[in-house]
Amino acid sequence: MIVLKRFQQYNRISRVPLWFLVAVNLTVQLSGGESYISIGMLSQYGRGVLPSQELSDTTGAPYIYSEHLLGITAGRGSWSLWTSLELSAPPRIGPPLTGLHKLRLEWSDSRIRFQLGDLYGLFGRGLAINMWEDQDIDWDSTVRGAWLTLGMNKWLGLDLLHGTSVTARHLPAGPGIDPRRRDYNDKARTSAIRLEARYLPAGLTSGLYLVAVKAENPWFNQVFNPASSANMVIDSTTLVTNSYLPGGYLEFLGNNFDAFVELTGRFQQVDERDSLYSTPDQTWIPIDSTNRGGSVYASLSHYPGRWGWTLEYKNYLLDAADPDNRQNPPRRVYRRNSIQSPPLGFKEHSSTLLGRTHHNMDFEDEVGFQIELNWEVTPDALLTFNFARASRHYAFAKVIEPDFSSAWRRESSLNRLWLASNEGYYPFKELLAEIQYRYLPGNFDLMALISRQDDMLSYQQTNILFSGEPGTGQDIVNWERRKLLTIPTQITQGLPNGWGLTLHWEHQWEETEFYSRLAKRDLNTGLITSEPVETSQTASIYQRYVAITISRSSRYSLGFVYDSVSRMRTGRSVNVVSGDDNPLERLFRRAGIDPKNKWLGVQAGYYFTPATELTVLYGSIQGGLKCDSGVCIYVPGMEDAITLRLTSSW
Amino acid sequence: MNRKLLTAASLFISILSGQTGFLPAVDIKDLDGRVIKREELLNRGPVLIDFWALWCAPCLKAMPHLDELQSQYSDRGLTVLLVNIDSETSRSKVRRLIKTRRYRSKVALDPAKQFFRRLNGMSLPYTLLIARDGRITYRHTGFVPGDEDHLAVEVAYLFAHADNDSVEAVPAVQ
Repeated sequence: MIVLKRFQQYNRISRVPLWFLVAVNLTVQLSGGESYISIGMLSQYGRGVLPSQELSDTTGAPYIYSEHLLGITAGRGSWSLWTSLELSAPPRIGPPLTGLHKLRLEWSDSRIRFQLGDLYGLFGRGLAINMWEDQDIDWDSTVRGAWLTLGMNKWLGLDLLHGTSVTARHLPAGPGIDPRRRDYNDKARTSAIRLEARYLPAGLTSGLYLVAVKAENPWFNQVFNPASSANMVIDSTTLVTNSYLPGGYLEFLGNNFDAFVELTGRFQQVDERDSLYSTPDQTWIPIDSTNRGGSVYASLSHYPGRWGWTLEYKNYLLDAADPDNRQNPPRRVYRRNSIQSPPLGFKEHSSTLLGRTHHNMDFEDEVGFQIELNWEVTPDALLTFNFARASRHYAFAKVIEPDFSSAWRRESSLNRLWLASNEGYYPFKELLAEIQYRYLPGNFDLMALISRQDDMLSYQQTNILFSGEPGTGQDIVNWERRKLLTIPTQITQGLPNGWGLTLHWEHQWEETEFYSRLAKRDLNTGLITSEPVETSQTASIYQRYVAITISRSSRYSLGFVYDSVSRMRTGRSVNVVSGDDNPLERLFRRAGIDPKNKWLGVQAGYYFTPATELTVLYGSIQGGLKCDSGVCIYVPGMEDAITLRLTSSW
Repeated sequence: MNRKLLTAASLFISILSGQTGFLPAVDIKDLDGRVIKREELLNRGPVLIDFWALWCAPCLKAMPHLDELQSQYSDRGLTVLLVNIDSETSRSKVRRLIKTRRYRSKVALDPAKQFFRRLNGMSLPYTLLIARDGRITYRHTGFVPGDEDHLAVEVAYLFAHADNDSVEAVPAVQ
């Protein structure tokens, strides 16, 4: 019990003394019988310059990170202990930590499994609970606590879970935001119960669950103050909410067919309403104290032979906050709990350029589908086609009354089960085709993809109920819409004596349309009375990413990376002044190639053993979005950097 | 200072007392939801475990070569186990890919990466070759051309070695 309490005191976990961990480890190891131990290490270091995001600022701050993780797993018989120690001062993203990063003690036999410590896993497809971690994007929704899985008989299983989680959150990139720093933490105490029935001979599994979450989340609005060039926090308070998520799922796994459906409801209540109604800056905030929402996810797959398809449908509607609160995540009262991480319903890319232009999914309000088709044309060639569409359930318009008071008006699509294509609903679509081809006798591999994406980045509609003419109002609509054409290609050619050559290049053409429309409307009839005044401007950006690597199997590799944009999206251009060139940029400039808005790097890798690799990079790295499971953060770039990364398992 | 020394010493003893390079307990599920156990794997013969994910391009390149080894050594008891570590949300896509490509290897799912962490995998693909007595004889991370030849040599060596040795019973870890 004392141990359990220790685990629940999340903020104190890194202070658990190492001797405690070692003592547990020794007990497991020395208690007789056969035991095992496994160790893994990730060590990375980087030193460079963080470019300023301000247009007028050509200087940069030093960017240094030193991040080291040591994973030790020990076990004997039914016992297993997994620990991860961290020495980060600071890491690439997030705060420094020295001490115990993760710890889990596990006992299992054929019927019972008991885990104590940092818990990973999900129920169904994660609509209610999905605990996962990705250190690269500083995301950690693991629950620290206890999880008992009990096989009641051959068909029935029971899960009981209880613990706390602290998930770091980062605000979207922008002026005054330090992308390396955590902006706030969502804290939650979770209790869950699940009953799962399995009848494997028929391929059937079904589950019923109830998840209760008590969250203590910071609630504030952060605005940029141009006077001080820094962010200013207003209305800061802590918001306590209670959520109950009942749900269930049904799965069928056939020989060449599978189907899955999951439904989850969410009933959420603000626990301490007073905290919302008496913030330092406002005395009354018009927000309901209760909220009801729900999520549905279904998938259907069929693979009769050399081809197969999967159809996925998602319908997530937990909160339809107005744009003011939606664009300020910490201000969104009924945001999803961090442990809710449902399927995306669109393709998540491993391509460098497509990874930087990820669809900004709204987990609280999105409906859509995805269909993917595989076709093995020959045993050496596989074609994949994917089509995905999504939109939000609601569109918003700001209505300004003659007395200048304003309020949001919400419009919902005709059918809540299906998506809408009107710009106000933030429609998204992607169509892609991919080929994977290998020619085994020639040791040749090709992967090529073409993707066309259309995504609404922002939309504002304002209805002004007055104008210079009596009985007439004005409608103003502005939007920003991005269209992308991306072609990533990778060719790998095996050469004699274990040598290999990999060519990886990507092209991306981006067109962002800035549209504006002004029209006059008769306030009595509601009809447009004048020809709308429309303006549309398009900004085009071309991006290219090239990486060439020559390698000798299990020994070493040497590569060159070239990353360029035709025009910066935000901030100043890079490598404009020749005096600031690093040796690589100087080499390019001498060869007559302007290094402006180009990031160049050389990379070398060395294998000490087949499972111990050191990678060194020198040059510049472009910053950009990095995403995992729909969670994106901006990882800043580095100029004139040297980075080292050592991974080892033994 | 004394405490730090004591901690370091006990950690060192702890590492020495355990067997490094030994296959731990296995409790992952195959694509049909059936639990795969360590004994079940090792009773047949050596095991080649490969951790992969749908988003990992080198993993997808390595898989045909691993499946080739399954075909080549199937009669001699080799089990190639392709462990997918994508989230469970990708299960349908994994099943579809495996069935469409008609791989002969065994495929398992480790969506919470518990087994991957138990073997302290650090990057993908992560390949381990395990002798019938549970010893991990080879570990490899990443995949570049030529790695498939190294792996084929390791597998051949393991079988050549096993043919000369008497076959030991599989120790029960769990």
